[in-house]
Amino acid sequence: MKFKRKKEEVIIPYTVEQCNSCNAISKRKFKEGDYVFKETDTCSSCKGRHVSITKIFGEVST
Amino acid sequence: MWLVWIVPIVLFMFYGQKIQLQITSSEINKSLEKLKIFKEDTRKELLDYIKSTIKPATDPSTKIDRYLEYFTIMPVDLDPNGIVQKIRHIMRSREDYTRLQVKTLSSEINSLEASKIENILEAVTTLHLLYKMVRHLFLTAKKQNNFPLILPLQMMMPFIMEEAEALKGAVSAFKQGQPIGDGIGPMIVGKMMLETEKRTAAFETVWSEKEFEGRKLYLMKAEGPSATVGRPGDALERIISENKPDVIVMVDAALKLEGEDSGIVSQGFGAAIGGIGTDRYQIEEVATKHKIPIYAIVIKQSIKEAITLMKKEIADSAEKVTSQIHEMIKDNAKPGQSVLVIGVGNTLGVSQ
Repeated sequence: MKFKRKKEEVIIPYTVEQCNSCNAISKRKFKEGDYVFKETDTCSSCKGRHVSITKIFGEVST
Repeated sequence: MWLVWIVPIVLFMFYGQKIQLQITSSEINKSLEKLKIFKEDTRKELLDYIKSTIKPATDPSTKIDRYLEYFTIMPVDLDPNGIVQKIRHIMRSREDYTRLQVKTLSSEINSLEASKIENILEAVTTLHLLYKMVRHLFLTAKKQNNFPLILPLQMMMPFIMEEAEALKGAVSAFKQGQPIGDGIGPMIVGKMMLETEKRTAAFETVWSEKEFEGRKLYLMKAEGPSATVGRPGDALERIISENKPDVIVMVDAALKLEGEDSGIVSQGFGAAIGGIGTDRYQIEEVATKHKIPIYAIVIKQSIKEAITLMKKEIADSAEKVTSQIHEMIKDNAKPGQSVLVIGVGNTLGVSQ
């Protein structure tokens, strides 16, 4: 009988941004320098300047 | 024919324990090798990180290696009266010394980088100590040829390896400044603190005021996005001396039991704060003196999840916890009263 070796999980860090004007949410890969509640670029939907990072988390890649 | 049965019986009667010792030893040896790799890899990661980020004038390896061998002597407990203050004093001395040592690596180091290096150094030191302790117990048992001595080590090895793997994973999150599972408390309270005036409550700890449905909220957390837990005990003492809140709500990460899902939220009573116990003692003392009830909300996670990059399930629990904090405030404080909400944990990668 062969035992399957447990596959090592690869966790990818993601950053979630939200526009405070239009509430549009976008998810992208984490960049160094990101931190939660940091004010970032302009919103791609409404071009507003009030975009901030709301979450940073890791997800197992599939 | 009956000799076929007798031989193994006799063999196991006289050599059974030695055979078992050999099997157990080889298992422990494999884990020990793994621990050694973890220890060496994380040390190398730390040195590479220091060299690439703060570019010290001299090679930091001698200083780092010397630091890895530092020890802390806990105060004598024959007379336990006043021991908490003694422990706090010793731990603070160690923290201050570490901070100073890290700052001497480069004159241009900023507080964020310094805090990251301090945390990585802590993880590497713990791995170094784990390796040395396991090696000591293993070699002692082998030297004495003592099977019962190796049994407790065999039982503890899975837990030690779980912690070691968590520490190894933590280094990567610390290097990149990513929030860790333990940062969920500061993340929730940090969101509540947005657009308020932040003031210093204690070393690396901030607080602010906010109104919520007729109640006054005092919000407190470690100062992010640095890798710090702040000094919640000192900060609480100061806030309570200036503004006496009617209720204290503490939000923290807590270790889940096997079988529980990560990110589930539980409510309870008492000071939700980990660590060596000095901050919890201080919070309990002050709350008892002023007869302020303490409520706790915890977000369950494993030890690995608590010190590595925050998992999605944990980050997603933030909204649920915020609504539970609001509910708790409405249930336990009348309009006109005030509530102190504390986000406990390492605030790496989480601002306010």
